[in-house]
Amino acid sequence: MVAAESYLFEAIENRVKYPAKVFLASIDHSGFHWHYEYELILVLKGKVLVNFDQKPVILEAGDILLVNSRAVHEIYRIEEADNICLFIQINQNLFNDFRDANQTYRFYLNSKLDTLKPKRGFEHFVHMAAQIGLAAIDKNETTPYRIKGMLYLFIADLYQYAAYDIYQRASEAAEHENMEILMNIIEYIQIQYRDKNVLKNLYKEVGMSEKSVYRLLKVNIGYSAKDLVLARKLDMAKYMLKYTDKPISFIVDECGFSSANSFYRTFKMILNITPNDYRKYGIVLKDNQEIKGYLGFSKTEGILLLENIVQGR
Amino acid sequence: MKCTKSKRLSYTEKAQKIVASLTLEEKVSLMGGNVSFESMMEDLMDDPDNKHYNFVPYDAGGVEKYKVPPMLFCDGPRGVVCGNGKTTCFPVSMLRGATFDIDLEERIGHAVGKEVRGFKGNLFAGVCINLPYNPGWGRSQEVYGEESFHLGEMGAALTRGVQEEDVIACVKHYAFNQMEISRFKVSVDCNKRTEREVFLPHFKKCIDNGAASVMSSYNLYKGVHCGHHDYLLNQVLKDEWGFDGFIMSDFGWGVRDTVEAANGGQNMEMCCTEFFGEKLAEAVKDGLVPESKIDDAALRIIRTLIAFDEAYDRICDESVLGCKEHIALALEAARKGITLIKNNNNLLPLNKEAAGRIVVLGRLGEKEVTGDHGSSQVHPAYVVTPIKGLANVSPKSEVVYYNGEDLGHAKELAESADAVIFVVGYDHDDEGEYVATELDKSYTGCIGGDRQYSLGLHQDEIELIRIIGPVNKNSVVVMIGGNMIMMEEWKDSVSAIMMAYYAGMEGGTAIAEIIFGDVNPSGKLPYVVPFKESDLPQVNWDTETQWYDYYHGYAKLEKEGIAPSVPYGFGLSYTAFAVENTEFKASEDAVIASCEVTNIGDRSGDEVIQMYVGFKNSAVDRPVKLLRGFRRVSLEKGETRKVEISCPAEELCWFNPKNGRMELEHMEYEVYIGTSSANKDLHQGSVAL
Repeated sequence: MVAAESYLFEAIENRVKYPAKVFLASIDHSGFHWHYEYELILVLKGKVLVNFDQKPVILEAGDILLVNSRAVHEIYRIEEADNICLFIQINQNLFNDFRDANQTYRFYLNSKLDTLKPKRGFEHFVHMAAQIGLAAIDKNETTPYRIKGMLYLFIADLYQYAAYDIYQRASEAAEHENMEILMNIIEYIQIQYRDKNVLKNLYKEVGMSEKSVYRLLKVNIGYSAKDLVLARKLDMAKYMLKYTDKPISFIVDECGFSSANSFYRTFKMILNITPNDYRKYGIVLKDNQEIKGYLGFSKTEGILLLENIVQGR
Repeated sequence: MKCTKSKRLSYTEKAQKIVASLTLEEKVSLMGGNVSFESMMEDLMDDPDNKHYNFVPYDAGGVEKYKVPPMLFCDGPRGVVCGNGKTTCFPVSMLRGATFDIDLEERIGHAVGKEVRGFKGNLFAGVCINLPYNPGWGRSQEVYGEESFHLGEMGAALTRGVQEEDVIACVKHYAFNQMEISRFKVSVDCNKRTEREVFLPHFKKCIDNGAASVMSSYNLYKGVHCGHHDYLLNQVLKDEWGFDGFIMSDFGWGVRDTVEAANGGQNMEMCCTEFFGEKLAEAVKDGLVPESKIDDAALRIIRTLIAFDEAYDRICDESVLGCKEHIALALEAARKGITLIKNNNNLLPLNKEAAGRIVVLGRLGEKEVTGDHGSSQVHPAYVVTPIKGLANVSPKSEVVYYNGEDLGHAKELAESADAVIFVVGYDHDDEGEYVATELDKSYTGCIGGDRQYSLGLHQDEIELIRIIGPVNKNSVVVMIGGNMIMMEEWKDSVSAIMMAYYAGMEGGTAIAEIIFGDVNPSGKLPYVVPFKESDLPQVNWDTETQWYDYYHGYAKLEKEGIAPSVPYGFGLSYTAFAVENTEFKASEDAVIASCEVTNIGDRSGDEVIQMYVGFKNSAVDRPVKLLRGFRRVSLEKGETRKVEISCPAEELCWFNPKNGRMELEHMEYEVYIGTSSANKDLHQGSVAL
């Protein structure tokens, strides 16, 4: 069974040519989630709370925080005021490009902490992040080159000026291959979660036994395939409850729950709210593509705020 | 060995015939390197990663029409310097010295010899046996330790191994070369007894074991450049010791004057021809250098090269380079040389099953450090760092590394850990081959040089260990470096200390295997660790003159009644050994000590049994005792073995300056046998000679 504070994972798709996703957003509530990408959050306006490393921090305009690869975190707006944040989600492989593939790096870049300040100060990283943010907005054929170059600069400066721990894995672990399999498993579940035989088919699809898949997932993300299927079903149900008028009986079926009873029971247990109440009062999710709850905001204002940083205004 | 001295001498007549048919210019052409300084620099500028120093063997001489091959020079000693990503990177000689394993060093010689042939070379210039008068010498990593007898035994083993593969072993740097930053200018001086009893015996031993080539050093001895040194080259090496091979100069600055070098006995100017070549032919024509000197050099070069060329009757192709067997040998050496110095409450080995979170602190924990970046740098396919080794050897452990800069963060990590491992010490910037202080003037791309300012760890490392060591009682220090590192400031802050030297491409594996107990440590320090740096002989590192005293190292401390912090020859094991039933006797021309060694602990292990001879009854000033024999033994749990060590009487001689001879004193000698140079680890007897 999934624990009450079920962690979700966010499959960040990098369809663009550079290994990062850069965007401005206004955050309502993301729920707990994790992803392989390193996620840099730069607050441009308002306040957000980030639950990270079991220590909630409140980030205000000008604050910067790097959420490490695979770190479970949640972000939500505090106070009624609007917020605008820049997110830079960097593919973790970029960090290993010139280093050992069996290492994971955990950086300490959090402008709300008094310890482990980067040697060049937070302003340096804030400035670089804003530059990347601006460069990503103007999309033309040079953008991917520019962004990739800037990301490398950013990573180089992280290695040089920020404190970090290295998590070293054994060579035999063949971590790289495992990561690919892991991504395949997650992707398969994302698509096939409705199928009753999703897990059986999954084992066939990836050519691994139930036990091996279990071990791989437990070691890397701490959840079983079953947990992931359920999390996905609930996500879908939440979306349909909020944005469609479909009757619950339809949603039960559509999201692959075996019965209305089990749907009600599971939903209440995990989300601590009944499906009906959720339909009435639940938090707003803008769309189902992202797990984050993004709010509408003025993109122009975001760009202006980025320009202010870059130009030192 | 196919190419023994007598075998080589059997080519004298053939070589003489070739010499007789050569013109003066042809003979002189044999005596110089064919490499140009400009092309070396061009290569370095063009592609410094691939066309590094000695990326292909450097050639000298060669006469095609008489089938005299060129000499093809490959540098060492921690493997063959040529190529990129192909060769085997062995642990440095200092670590191999700590194995006290003659057989292993000979096998390394075989492997290196094969790899030299694999690179199409025919000479290995990696028998480096200078004696570190003060351990601060930046290139001490290239030698086996502080003790002349031990240096000679190890150097001779490497020489035999290399030459059994029909590759010429070149012994270097002859002589008195144990200061790096002053190497081009310093003139060393000492008295005759120091010269003959302390600084030359190990060279003689390698020559006696058949070494067919010698490299002269850059420095001066008694005011004369060693590359020009009539006394050292002609009188001692060739005449007294009967050396039949050829001498070459150290590279670039080893020959400074055409006439003085040629008359002084230099045979080959390396690796570029500047003072020899045409200038040498001129000097002969002008009557400044007798042609007989040229004929002698040509004979030595041709005889040696054709003898080795004919002996080499098979093909070593590139498949030998960095092959499985050679890498296994590099690992074996690292396992046997890494030395456990302290292990309070048997902290080590750590239990793989129980040791959950291993925190590694210190800059060197994730670095690929294999030693200096000068002429001894080899370029293997990979290097196992300490953290990689730990993760591979104990895959269930969580290995977390942090460089240790922020003490608060280091403390948090240490508190969270099941064990803390500090990896501290040196890299190529701290010690090693030295060319210039400014990086852009240095072909090594690093600073290197001697440890002029301190023989201890860096201040930030000392602080890290002192503050974070006590945070977790399961704290271990792993030291990386080429020679003795002072430990007094921090040694009480941790439970365990090991010296890993520069442990080669598989160094991280061996360090981890010892930490987790897959391997039982068995290395022994080939140097003494004093309480104070001032207990050691003092040198002025940046100087034009330097006097060497008769005493250095453990012999000095013992003579002066100064207790060492860690004695020469000391190293711990995870098992325990008992030495019993000792016997001491003398034969006509040898001293023999024997004992029974029993492994009384609960696992198998190796011990190095050492024999020392004492000179308390001497009529002249002599050391209290000196190492004069050693043997490594492997014992299963509970196993007993008899070990007999014999030392030829000639190894006990002193140099009588009155008659200029090595003489044996007829007296009663103390003989000791045991497991380190400390009296508490030795059994004492006596024999009369």
